[in-house]
Amino acid sequence: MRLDDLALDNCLKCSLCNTVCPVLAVHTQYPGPKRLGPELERMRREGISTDTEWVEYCLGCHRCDLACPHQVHVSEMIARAKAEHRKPLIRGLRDWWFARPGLLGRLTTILPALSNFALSMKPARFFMSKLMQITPQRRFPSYTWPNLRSPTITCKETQRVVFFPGCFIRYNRPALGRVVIDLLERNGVAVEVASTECCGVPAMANGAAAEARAVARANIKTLAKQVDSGMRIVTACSSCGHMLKTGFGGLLEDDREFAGAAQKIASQTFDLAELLMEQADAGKLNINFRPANLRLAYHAPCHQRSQGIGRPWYHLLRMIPGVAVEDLDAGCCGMSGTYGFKQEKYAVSMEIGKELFTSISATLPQMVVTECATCQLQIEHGTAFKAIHPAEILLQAYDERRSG
Amino acid sequence: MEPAQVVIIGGGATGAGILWDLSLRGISATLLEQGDIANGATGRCHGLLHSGGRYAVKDTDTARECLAESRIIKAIAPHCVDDVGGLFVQCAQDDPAFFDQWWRAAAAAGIRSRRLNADEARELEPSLAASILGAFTCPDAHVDVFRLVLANLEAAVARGGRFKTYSKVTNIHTANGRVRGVRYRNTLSGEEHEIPCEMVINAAGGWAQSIAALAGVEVPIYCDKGTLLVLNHRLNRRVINRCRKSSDADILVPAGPVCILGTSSTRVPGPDGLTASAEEVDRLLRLGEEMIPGLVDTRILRIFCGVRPLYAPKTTEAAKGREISRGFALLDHETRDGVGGFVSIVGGKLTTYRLMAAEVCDCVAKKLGVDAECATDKTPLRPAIDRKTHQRALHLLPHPVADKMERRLGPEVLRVIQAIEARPELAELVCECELVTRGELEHVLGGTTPVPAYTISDVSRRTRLGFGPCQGTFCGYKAMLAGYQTQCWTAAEAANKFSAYLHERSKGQSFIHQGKQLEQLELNHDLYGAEQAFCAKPGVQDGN
Amino acid sequence: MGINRYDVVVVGAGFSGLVAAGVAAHRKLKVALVATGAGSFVTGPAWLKAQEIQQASAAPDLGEAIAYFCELASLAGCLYAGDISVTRFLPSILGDFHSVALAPLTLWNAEPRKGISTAIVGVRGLSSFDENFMAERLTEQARLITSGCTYTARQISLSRDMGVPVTTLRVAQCFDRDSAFREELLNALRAAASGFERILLPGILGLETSAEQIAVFERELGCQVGEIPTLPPSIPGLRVYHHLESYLHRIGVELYRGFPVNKVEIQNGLCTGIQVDSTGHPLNLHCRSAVLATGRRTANPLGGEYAGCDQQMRPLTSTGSVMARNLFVAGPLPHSSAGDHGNVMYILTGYRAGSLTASTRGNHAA
Repeated sequence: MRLDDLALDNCLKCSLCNTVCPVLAVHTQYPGPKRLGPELERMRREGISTDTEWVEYCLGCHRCDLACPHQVHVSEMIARAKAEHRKPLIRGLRDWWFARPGLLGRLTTILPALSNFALSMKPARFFMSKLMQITPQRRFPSYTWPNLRSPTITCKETQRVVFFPGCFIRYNRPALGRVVIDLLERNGVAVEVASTECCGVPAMANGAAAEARAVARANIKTLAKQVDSGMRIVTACSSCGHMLKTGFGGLLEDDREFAGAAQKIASQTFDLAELLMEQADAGKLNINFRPANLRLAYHAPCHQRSQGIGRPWYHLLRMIPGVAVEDLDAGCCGMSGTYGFKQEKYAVSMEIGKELFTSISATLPQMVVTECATCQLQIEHGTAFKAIHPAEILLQAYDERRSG
Repeated sequence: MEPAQVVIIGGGATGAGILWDLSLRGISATLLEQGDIANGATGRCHGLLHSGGRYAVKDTDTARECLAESRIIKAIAPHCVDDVGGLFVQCAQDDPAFFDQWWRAAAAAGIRSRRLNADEARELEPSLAASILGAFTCPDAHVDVFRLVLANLEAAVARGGRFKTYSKVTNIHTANGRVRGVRYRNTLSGEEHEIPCEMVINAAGGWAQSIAALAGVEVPIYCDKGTLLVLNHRLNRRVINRCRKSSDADILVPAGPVCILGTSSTRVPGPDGLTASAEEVDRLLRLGEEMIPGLVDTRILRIFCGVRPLYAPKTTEAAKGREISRGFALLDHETRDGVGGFVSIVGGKLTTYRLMAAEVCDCVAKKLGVDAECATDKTPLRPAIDRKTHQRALHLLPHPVADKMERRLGPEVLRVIQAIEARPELAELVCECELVTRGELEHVLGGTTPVPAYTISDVSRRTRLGFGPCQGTFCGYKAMLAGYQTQCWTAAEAANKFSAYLHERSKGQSFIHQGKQLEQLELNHDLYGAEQAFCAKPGVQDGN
Repeated sequence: MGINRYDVVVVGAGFSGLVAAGVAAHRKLKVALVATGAGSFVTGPAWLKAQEIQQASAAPDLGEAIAYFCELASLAGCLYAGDISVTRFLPSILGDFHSVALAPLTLWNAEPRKGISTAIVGVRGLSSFDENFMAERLTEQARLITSGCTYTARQISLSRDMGVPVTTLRVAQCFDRDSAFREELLNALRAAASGFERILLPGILGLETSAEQIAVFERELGCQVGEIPTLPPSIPGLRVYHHLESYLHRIGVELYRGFPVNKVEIQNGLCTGIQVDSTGHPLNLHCRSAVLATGRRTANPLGGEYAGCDQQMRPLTSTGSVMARNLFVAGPLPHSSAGDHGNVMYILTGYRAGSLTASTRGNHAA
């Protein structure tokens, strides 16, 4: 056992983490990452039971980690606290489902149209509010037939990658998955679609560490052959990307069988934009863009910033002639996956996103681009603007005819 | 000054224990301590409540004594003891013959122990090295030394005992071969006072020699220094001992949120001016690393040195520190030196403080013609907290905060609860690492406690405020403001006290020559400016 | 030039790094700023002490460097007041006065001024600041250094529940986000400050407020406002930091926040890139020159080989050879001597390093 795998000893109590926490900024009782992270961790090591409901209010945005001058693994400490947190029955049941979007997705896409209809009905939402504490204010994203398959590799591509689609693409928007594949193929990259499970972020966020480990192991097994052959893994969803790049949140560090593989995956995972950026830097990016006339606003998701790759989408979009991009840089949107669906957290979620909403309204773009699905949901919920994945803009710029 | 039948010199565990014992027997006594509580060896040790395992092989009687006394202390002062249990770990580098010796000796001493294989040991304590061979369990425990001394003092005060901190004895008056009284100086105000008395008990530990000299008596004390390291977070659940003949860095004691690694053994001329060198610290870490890998990289919060005050009559002076008996000696100076009414209690160890006190008090009671038996083995030092108060505390504060406050304050906690109920802002955690609320802080500073606090360091000893990673950088400042608000310190006094506090805190950190604590110090330095500067150089004096 | 290719990569976002990045960016270089933390901005009030000016006074470019910094701060939206040749006294967290040459304007407004009636206003529940303590201390200390200035203590209460305890951070964040809160604060302060020409507050006037916004606040209040430093996180310090960083971002400096540097790539005496310890796998930034301004509390990316700098601020090995011609060290590094410390030295070395990167451009192939 490593004595200090979370860099607990690095904490100098400077409170910089507190200054960037989106929850602390809007919620006067929230103790903040310094307390819920290193302070509780230190007490846990003393053997004191430190369970507090407040850990549930952590967004898991990792801004605290990025702010820390000494790389204390603040959010990981809070995640551990979440895993030990005991919830009241209803919340526990609700969060059990929220932790498993893969399962939810498989169930709802048996009959997607019916599921969508049912989920959108007022009685259903009333039921969910009263009995499951799911906010009635939001609509669920719609589910479709899952039909994302690996394309047959036809032309001579220089590179092969395996695409980790994630639950949103797989169950809600497979069309986006096809956009990703298309984009990569036009840049000389052949794509295999992995039949992977949920990346585990919703499980971690909902305190279901065992579930997160289970899906992590399953994913490692599914990707084993490709990873061993040195193939790179591509993600288009920031949260999936972050999870894979951290070796599944560090959950398998002590797992003798899977730790090595998790590390390999971490080092071989690339965000879609990162890969395209690499092509651009090597002068190999397909820049046959037809000019557009677009004013866009780009919102970098928290899980994109936490990857430390700069802002490649911002730069890629600007390569399209006629496209103007404003980098909003207006804080966290407040949605954080399942967080914003929770009744008790809805108000906090919207309050956090206020700054971003205001910034968007002030910028008046034609649309907002962001690569995180739930950021898109939040932006569309909190403003009158449409939000789409930047990959769609890039692909549209290649096409002669406009595609869905 | 009010006369007392007995004056006790020395406010460590022994002195405090004597005050309690005498008070229970109805003998009026006043205790004088030159610093704050536990200024000497008591406040500078591991805080290990021995099961006797460390003495089993060498000295079965001492081991039995420790075992019996540790059981008594767990019974009379449960709020001071963290009964975590202990292990004697068999390291691959050590002599296997000693393991068997230990096992048999423990049995002979009556110490209940189980034999564990390496896997079992590491399941209990995952931080242990993969290379260990196994371990023996034992009923070791951690005792909060300040709380223990406070408990004895508070109990004594409730029974009429008196004591004064910051009172340095400057003379012991004798006439016609008898003690008549003592003179002491208040080190805060500089004023001198006299206490007429019939008897003086010298329980001054490392200073016993110089105190005895005030009465014209020679008591040879061999001062053996040990250096200890406080590590930032708890690496172990239980006390971890190395199963070998006593040597350096053998013990890692869990102490609340930190753990304490020690110790070493070097002869020093006296109890003052103790220093630790970088080499010594490095050596302790490297040795500890053999039992617990990764120790070398862990963050040291504080380094402190304490003195084992060993009684070394001429015949055993040649022997080295550890080998001089850790048993104690009661010196009746009437028969020994012709000075009536003066006794000294020397040597001993923390675990047997009560026994030492009992022996002294038996002797003193006899001399004073008081027919009262020792009752300290059966009398709890503090009544328990009633359920209602406990529920009220839980209603106001998170469980860990309430729990720690109750353990520190006992039934007095009711006052703090009432204060917090009246003013909710008092629930603020001033020291976030040790969970000290503003309510508790104001209570301790308020001057109504049996053992008053005069400085911010005094507050630290009573509440553990500032014992965490920041070493008072943040909480000490707030404590200063609280002192200004409740103690009627002037602003200038408050600022001076804070400056003194930072200086005290820094002395324990100045030997740390690398790592995160050094950076914490630099943050402290940046924050409070060059006026509070201290040198991050090894070898600087530690008077803490 | 590719996206991850820069003219200059600056590592560190304390005073040294921000100034170096500013200088390079103002000379139209393509700059990347890689940093974790905020240097000394989180601890203290970001002022420049007279003692530090004195220690650096032999440097011929001191005036230029400080003037540049003041201009940068002004462009960024936070004003500094003062002059390197004049010493003034400003209150510290302990209620004594420090000799300061330059400071952010709100802190400057707290200097002792004879004849100006001054109230020190605390906030009820703000446990890290005591207005009575401060008023008593400053009044007594002011008597020692000037012909006296009296500070009177006052307190305001805020109606909303700010949590327990109220912290300067919470108040500052409310100040930034909520105009109703600013209104309430104004009203409360007006009442407390009536009869006084100046009020001093603990550092709570927002993390994002610009000099302009504070000026507006003062006008609406009707009297001068000053801030006194409090425990970290230092709101006035972080305010400066926030503005400098935002400004640099606006003028095109690419920010890589939150990841330390693994390696400095050096080939044939030239630094070719900086490797950032990003999540999963490292990010390689190519550069024509680089500035290391990682400060005292972070491991030096050059490792054990580093043994000081030459006159051109380039790092040297223990044998005295230059590690890389286009690599510059600014600010202190771990275990550097005491003379390297202090915000003034950080600015001076950052300014020099930034200027040097400009002159190395074009001296070698990309």
